[in-house]
Amino acid sequence: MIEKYRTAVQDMTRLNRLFAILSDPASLDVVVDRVVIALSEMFAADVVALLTPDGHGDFTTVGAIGLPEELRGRPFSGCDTCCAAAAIRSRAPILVADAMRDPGMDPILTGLEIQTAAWLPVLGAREILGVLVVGRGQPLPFSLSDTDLIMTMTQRVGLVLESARADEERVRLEFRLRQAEKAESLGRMAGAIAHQLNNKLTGVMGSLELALNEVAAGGDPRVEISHAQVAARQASRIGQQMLAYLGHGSRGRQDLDIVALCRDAIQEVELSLRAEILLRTVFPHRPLIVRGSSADIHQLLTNLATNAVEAIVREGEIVVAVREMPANEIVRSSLLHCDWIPGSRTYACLEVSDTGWGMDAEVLKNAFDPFFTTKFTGRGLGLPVVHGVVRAHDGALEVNSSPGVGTTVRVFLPLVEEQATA
Amino acid sequence: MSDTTPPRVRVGTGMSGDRDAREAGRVAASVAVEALAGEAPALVVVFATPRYNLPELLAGVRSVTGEALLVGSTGSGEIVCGKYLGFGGGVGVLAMTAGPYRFAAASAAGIADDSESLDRAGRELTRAARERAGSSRHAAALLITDSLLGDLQQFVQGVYRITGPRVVIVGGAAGDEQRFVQSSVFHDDAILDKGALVLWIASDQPLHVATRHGWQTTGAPLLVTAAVGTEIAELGGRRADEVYEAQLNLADKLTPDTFWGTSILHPFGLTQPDGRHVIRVARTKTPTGGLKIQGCVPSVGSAVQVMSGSADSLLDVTEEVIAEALHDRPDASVLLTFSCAARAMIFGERAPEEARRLQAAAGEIPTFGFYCCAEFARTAGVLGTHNATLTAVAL
Repeated sequence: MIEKYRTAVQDMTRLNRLFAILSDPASLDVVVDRVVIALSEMFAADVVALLTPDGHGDFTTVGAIGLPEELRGRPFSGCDTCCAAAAIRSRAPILVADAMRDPGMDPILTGLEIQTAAWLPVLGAREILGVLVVGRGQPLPFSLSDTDLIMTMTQRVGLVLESARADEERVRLEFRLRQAEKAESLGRMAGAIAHQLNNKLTGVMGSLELALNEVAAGGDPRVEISHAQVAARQASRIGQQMLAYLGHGSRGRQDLDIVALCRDAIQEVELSLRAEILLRTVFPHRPLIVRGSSADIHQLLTNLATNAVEAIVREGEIVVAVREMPANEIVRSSLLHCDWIPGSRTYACLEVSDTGWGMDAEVLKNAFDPFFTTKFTGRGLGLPVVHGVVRAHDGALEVNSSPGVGTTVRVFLPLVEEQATA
Repeated sequence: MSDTTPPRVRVGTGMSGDRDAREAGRVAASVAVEALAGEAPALVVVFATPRYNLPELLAGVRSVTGEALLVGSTGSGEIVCGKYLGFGGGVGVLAMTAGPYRFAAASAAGIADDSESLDRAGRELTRAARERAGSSRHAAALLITDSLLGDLQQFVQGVYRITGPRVVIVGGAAGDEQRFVQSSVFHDDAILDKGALVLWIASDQPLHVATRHGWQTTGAPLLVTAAVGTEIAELGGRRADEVYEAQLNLADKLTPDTFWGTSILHPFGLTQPDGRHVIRVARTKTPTGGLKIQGCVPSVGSAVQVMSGSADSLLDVTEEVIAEALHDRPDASVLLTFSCAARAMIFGERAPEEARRLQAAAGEIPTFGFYCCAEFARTAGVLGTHNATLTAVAL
């Protein structure tokens, strides 16, 4: 009676352990590795290997423990008489009590002096996914109850494997879709750069031609040359903004008080503000020091403020706030790049919000693509430049927007460590 | 007619209790090397008390053994041909010629104590040591690690990923005479902190590891339902310390200060399919009711049983271990032995008895080893880390 109780407890604990592993949201490789290690521990199995058909009649190892490194790439035989094929054919476990004499045993395992083995088909809901082989170097055969237990575990492994493969396929398709979208975005960007530069260079060339005509006629070409100069500067500005977008624009980094920078930038914005727009600022009383390029950060602030102003058609309110924020309070899932990893303990959070027209999901998705614009006069480089500057400063960006409600942009820039630890 | 007799292994052992580290190392090494009858050692193994100035100690040894490969560690008492040196006892040195073996070692210091780093270190060091030794029909990986590296089974797991089952895995974790503050691993002139070493022994003959503990089960099996790091947090869904103490009828009687005195006598046994138990000793209990395990925590879902034993039951496995280690190797030249520091503490005044019985059982074959803070001996499956256990390998 006690023995039965002990066996029941042991089986239950083994199942619990395996199910705990299988329910862990880790990658498939990690889960398979943990499963084979757990099975090796639980059943004192010297070799545990999960095999899947390799498409050429043999089996390849998906995960294993106990297979020496030099054997990991070797295929297991899939011939008709081998145990792996028999387990798949019968959809039932194949138990081998005397492995060294059994002709169905794979030479990889006999070479490792495996004495007893169990080959179990890994069944998914729709198909047979492979075979799990569990082998012992000791002449201790797997009992029927052990085999039942491993088969139960293997079935669960099969379902998880099938589900993980479906997930992997979905992720693969999503990745391809994203790549296609990126390619489309790059194409749009390249076309737009060419178009914008072409416009400006046409202006330069036209003005120079007029200047030459003017010289030929004995006139003064300075007005035309000045026009050419302006157009050339605009072309150069597009180049600089593209560099900023790519995060290559930062030069001359120094410790900067972002609060003071904001005050300066806002003063400039206020000068050109329409009377219908109310501008409020919420700044801390102490400086917040970040390391960066003052020109780039000034550009970032100006772009955000300009976007906010332009988003308000008639009357509305803009709030510019700066505050200190611990890294663990930044909601990573809301960021433009949710795989961002904080590099500092504390960040300066610069928030610009407006009560303008806002953006729908489709517009928001493209808002950071260079040259994407919904504004008649815009070049579409405002938010991409903001994004580039944030990336170049190891920061993060969060944008929330609703049509008719407004937009809030939060920029997180790392505070210099001396200040963060103070 | 060619001579097919394998080259003979010459073995010498020496020890010293000299307070001067350099002199102790020099004297022990001189005695060991003298027994090699003029041949140069291919391998030097050094186990010593952590109380020595360790750079000086190794300098003393190397002044005699020269550039010969040196491996070893600090421990909690040394075993030298039937002698037990005890805490603060001194240094034991083994010097041996290669004979039919080839030795090569790889080591690393500053290993992080997370599972991934330990697994990776196990793989990388094994790969490097094997590559240096070259291929052979049979082999053993002798592991010496810092005992304070965390879950040492993760290191063994990494080693096993490379070796597979045909390579013997054996060894012990360095100690510091049960202070659990700092233990050191030796490799040539280097003293490694947070370190680990793999000595690859390439052999033409099969090698075999023998291991026994002498503990018996007591009470019902328990289910590990939560484990964090090297700590069992819950047993059967309840605080681990409460369940453990209830099994021993000591509810509310063990304080963090008195816990070790009891837990050393009642380790956990991790139930194996063949009925054996792999031993895990809880070293301390935490304020939140967790039980901190030395070296390797049982995984969540494992069945464990509280064990009991006595000095006699633990000592009685000595002859079995030697007999098993020598079963296929009656011609062995040396027996490397790894016993647990916890066993020595349980033996108390009888501690020298284990070393004496080991040598008596081994007969003319010299025995050499140390008292560790975890013993490595893989016999079935991936599990190869033990506590409160005696293990040996014959070379």
